[in-house]
Amino acid sequence: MRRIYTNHALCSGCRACSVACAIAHGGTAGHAGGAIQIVRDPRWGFEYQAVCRMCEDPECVAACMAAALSRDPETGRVVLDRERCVGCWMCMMVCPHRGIHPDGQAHKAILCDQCADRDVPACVKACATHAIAVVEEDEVSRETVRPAG
Amino acid sequence: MPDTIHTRYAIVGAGTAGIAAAEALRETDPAGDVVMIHGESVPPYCRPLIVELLMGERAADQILIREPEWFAERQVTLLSGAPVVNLAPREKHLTLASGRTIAWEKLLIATGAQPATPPIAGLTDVPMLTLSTQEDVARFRPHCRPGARALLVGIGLLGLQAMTALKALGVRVIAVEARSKILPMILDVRAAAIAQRRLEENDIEVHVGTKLTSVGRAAGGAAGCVARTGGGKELGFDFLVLTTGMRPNLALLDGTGIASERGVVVTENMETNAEGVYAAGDVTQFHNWIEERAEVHAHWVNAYRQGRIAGTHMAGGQAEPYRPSYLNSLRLFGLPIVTMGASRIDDPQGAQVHIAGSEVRPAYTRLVVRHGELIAATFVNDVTRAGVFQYLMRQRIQVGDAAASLLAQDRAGMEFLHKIHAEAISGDVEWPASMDLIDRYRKDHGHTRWGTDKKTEKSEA
Repeated sequence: MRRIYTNHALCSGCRACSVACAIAHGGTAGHAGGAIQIVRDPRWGFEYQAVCRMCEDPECVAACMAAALSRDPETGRVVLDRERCVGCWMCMMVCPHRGIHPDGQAHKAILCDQCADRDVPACVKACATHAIAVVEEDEVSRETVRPAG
Repeated sequence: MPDTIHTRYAIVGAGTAGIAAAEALRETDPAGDVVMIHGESVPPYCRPLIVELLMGERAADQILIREPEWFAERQVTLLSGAPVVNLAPREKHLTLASGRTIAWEKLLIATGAQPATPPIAGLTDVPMLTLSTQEDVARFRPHCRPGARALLVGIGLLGLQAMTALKALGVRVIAVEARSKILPMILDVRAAAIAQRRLEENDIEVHVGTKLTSVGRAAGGAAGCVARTGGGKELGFDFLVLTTGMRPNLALLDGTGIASERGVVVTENMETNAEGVYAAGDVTQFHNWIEERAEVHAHWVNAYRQGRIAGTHMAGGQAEPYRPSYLNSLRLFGLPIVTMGASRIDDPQGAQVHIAGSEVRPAYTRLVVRHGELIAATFVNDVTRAGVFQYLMRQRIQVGDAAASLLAQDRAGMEFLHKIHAEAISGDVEWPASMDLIDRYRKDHGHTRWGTDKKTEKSEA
């Protein structure tokens, strides 16, 4: 399976990843539209990248009452069906990683799709400091399977 | 002649607990027969989403808990429109209204909860509605004329949902709450004040600390109805909406010997006192580890988790013991709020309260720490960090002195979280050691050490 790794020590907080993600997925350049977000402490200049880690036993899938979230056992990817999402933010409430973000305008969640249709994810490509990396791993855990139907 | 179905697993109730149980037991036991009994004739749907149905935002087939194929794919037999009339746990069979009997080996009671009825005189004399089922939505519709006056009794989560829908339909909402603050089960007094202001800004008439004593038709043949409060006030309305809370559906348990108090009494493995009988979801009561008391708590995430635990045990598997989390995510006319734990307690004994607010972007965050553990958190407006605190609370991680740093998101707070992430949450997200990124960066930028390229250029020149 594909994994996206982030290194906060190398993150400059420039938000190029968020912008690249937003452009690749939504067509607008606002950083708020990205599935990867920069969390920062303005006083210390401390930054890290918050993005979905594709948990094996995702709390967000358990919390989703609209059955919009599911985990694909083949790819190991947690998938969001935007059509079903009602913007209740239950997923955000249970995610310990800040891996899912609100799209305030559309009232729907934004979740990383790992740019499955691209060779290199948009955020990885955009990062000037190589603080984001993509790794293709052979192993996919199929233990937890919670399809949304 | 009524027939009998023999099944390994019977699940009474097709809400989230029942469905989660079927899902979990199918993962452990791929072959055993599963019969799920659903009292309503429509496919199982998500009750918290029926307001979307009332508002016309979604159609009935867009609020299903699972698509119809889900049941076939997992070989779960769904019996819809089949209310259960008798449970016989000793004989291990149950009877449906149609007279059909089902003989089972393992039974799950996941019958959920229904809106509670407060003791107000004259309730049957006025148009009275609840908002819980699809049938309720059909009953609601003719009343929701623009300009009609709805009297909403109880400003909790249910009331909030109902008022959002009513407002969207142009109905005037007069809302009363018997306690001294709105959303009294989840908000502290300061958060409640912010929330109340939000409702009032959206033309909701809010009366807190107001208990209704009686309701009835308006006197002298005038149109509408009148409610009288304990304080002697009179409130005019056209129809009444009951949103005072949910009560477990326990009627089926009468005379069965299955122990229940306010809800079905279950162990942390979701077993009842009857052999082979489990219960999960809103019908259960469990121990609140923060406040040290038994409670019933209608809640989607808890119901799902309980259902999975029950299903796994029914199929003979092993699951982690159930630990409730008290989580709520709500939106008041666009204002997002997340609460967790004993967030309703204004003055928690033996605990430290940390509050952060901002005037620039109105936000309010409150953490309560007792014996170094997070026992409550409230997020108003900025809810993006809620998941992190949920994790800290549910895992009972000692936050101790870091609470203030966590709230301020300063360096110490961030480092605390990174430590937690690295140690406990998931090791697999650690940056791969094989990737020396500094080297990659240097290579890309054509230099071997920071700043060396400039020196080289100079010396060459």
